[in-house]
Amino acid sequence: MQFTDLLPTTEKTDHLGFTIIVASLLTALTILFSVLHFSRQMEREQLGIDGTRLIHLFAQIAPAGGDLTTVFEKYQLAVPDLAAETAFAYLTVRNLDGQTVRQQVRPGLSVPSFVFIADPSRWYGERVVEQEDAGGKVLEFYGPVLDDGMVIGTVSLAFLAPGYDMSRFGMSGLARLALPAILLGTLIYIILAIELKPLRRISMVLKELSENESIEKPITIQGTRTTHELAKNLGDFLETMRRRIQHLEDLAARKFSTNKVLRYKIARLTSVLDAIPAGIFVMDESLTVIFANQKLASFVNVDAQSVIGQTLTGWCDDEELLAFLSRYKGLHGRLFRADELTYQPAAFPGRTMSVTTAPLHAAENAQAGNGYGTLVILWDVTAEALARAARGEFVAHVSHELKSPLNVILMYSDLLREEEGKSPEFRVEAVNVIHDEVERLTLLINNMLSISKIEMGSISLDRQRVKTLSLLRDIFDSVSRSVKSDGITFSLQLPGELSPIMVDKYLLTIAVTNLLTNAIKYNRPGGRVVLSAEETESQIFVRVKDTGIGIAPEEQAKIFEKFYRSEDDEVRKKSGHGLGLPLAKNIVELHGGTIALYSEPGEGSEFSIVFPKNQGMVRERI
Amino acid sequence: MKRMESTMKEAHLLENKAKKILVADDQPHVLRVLRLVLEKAGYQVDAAANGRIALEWIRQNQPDALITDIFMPEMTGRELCENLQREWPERSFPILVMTSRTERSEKDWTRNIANLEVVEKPVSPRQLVSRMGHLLDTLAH
Repeated sequence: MQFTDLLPTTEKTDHLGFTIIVASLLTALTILFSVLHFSRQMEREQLGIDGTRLIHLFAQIAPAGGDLTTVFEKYQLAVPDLAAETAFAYLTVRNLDGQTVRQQVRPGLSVPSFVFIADPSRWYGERVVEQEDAGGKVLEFYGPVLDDGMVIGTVSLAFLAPGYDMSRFGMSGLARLALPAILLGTLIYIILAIELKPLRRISMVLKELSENESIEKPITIQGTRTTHELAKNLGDFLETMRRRIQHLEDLAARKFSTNKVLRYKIARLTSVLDAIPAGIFVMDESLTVIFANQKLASFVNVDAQSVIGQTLTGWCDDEELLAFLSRYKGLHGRLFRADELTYQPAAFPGRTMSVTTAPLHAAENAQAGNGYGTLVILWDVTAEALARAARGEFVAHVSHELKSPLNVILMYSDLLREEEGKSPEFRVEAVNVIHDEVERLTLLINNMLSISKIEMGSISLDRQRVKTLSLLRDIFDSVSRSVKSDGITFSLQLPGELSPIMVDKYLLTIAVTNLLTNAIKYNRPGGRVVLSAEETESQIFVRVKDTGIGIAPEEQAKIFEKFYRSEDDEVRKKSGHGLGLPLAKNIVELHGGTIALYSEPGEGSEFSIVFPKNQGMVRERI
Repeated sequence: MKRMESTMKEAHLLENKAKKILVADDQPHVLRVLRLVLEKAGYQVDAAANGRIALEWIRQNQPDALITDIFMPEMTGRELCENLQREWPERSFPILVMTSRTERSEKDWTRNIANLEVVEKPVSPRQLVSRMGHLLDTLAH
């Protein structure tokens, strides 16, 4: 540690130094004053003793013959060194009238008058007399001059009252007094500065701490002997605090970023929940909604925000749903399975909703009592419900359609085994009927399978390059061979050339055949059926025209529905499943084409298959 | 033997005293077969192609029994039975319903009609005839 370190560098330390110097000076002065005062007191006492003793001594010296002047000389002889005394002021002999007989006076001083008092108790005494001219005081001792016991005069002996006469001591004496005091002061100052330096450092550190947000460097404070303990503890404390603050700041920073991540994740999760096309909400044991996603509004006709915090009874106006969910009241986290209900909400007529409930468990342990509540999910299952209903209808239709021909076959074959079977006419009839029914059944089953496959999407077109003209001719031939015409004219109108098309030959044959068989079936006796084809810039047409019963406008869309058969008696008379047209339509559409219908009831109908001439359909000749 | 058979046939005919049975079905084959079998058994058979025709016939002629399909145009077998029940609550003749559907919902309505039995298609004609015989016998007693 440098000496310069000790020097005051701040105002406060300046004040301290100044104070110490002043204090030490004052101390020195005080010491001086005390010493002087003490010595004065000592002197005074001594003077008092001396003076009184001398006066009594003088009183014993008898004057010869009552002569006052001679007694003065005797006095002088008795104490020869008296006048030389530094404190000597005057020696005066007076007569009883107060007149001075003989005296010896120090130069510069004046002798005050004296009045003799006859009272013997007052003969001896002392007094302090002010010196007007010279200043200062004189201490006078007086007594009688006795001649055989008779007072013949008075004698006064005066000394200078001791004052603060420093000249007595001399400069060296003063220095000897003052210097130690000053040195002591300086020493004290130095010691204090050394001892207080740690405190200065402490104050600096504290100031820095309060001004800055944080301190990176570690805190150390060196102490001295006396402040060692304090400095060390304070330094340790501050260092601990500093580290703690840094640690907390780190934690805060980490927590801030964790919070950001958490908030992001929560926001993301919420957006996921809002995006799911289902109404989702969570309710606690008291059936109070504690979470709801945005989509809930489309399922229960309430606003998601307004629902949170309300109990079920406040907003759920669908009785069936309310009854179902109310079962979860007060289950207090007891485990329960997921449950489901399908219902028709009153708020959305025509729709079918499904509600699923599931207990929400804390991830850590799935024990009862640690749940988050009950999760309720609302789905719109209208489509599924309709599909199921349609499926059910389809199956019902199918089984009916299958059982009818089987019924007939059974009846006839049963009879064949019996007596009736012996009759040849009956046998012929039976065989024909059975054969027809089997054919009908086979056609039905094939149609159904095809339709099923197409609708399920499990059919894949086996597109081949097909010579359109040949295909149509083949179909025409096979139909005209197999179908009973009943006097109907069956003709083919094809252009000379027709672009080949990329089609599934098997399926397209079915489609066109169905149209043709319909045309023949629903025709009048002597009517006509025409199969034609046409090609334009952008399209290829295949048309089946008949002069049959025709189709009423309100039924023209319905006839393409599965199993639909017209209410018209003429139609109902003929046997049919109602699958031919739907299947043809499916097949055509699978190829990317369309079926159009033009019909006049009583006149006839024309079905047109239209294929666009795009890449998929027509490949140019190489 | 032949003589026996014809005698039996005659006896049968006499027994059945030409009971009139109305058969209603939209399939001509079914009507044909049923007529064949029932006439063989000695019944007098009339046919109707749908429920409406059957109902009109019944209004004009009281049958001794009715055999009907369910799925027919214009009026189904179910509608026919329900109409009969409404118009003639005291109807005495039995009804035999041929159904191809086995769902419970299809049979529920049959419970509300008096004197009605259900048989599932495909049905053997022999069975049909014997069922018919049972029904008419029960009625007779």
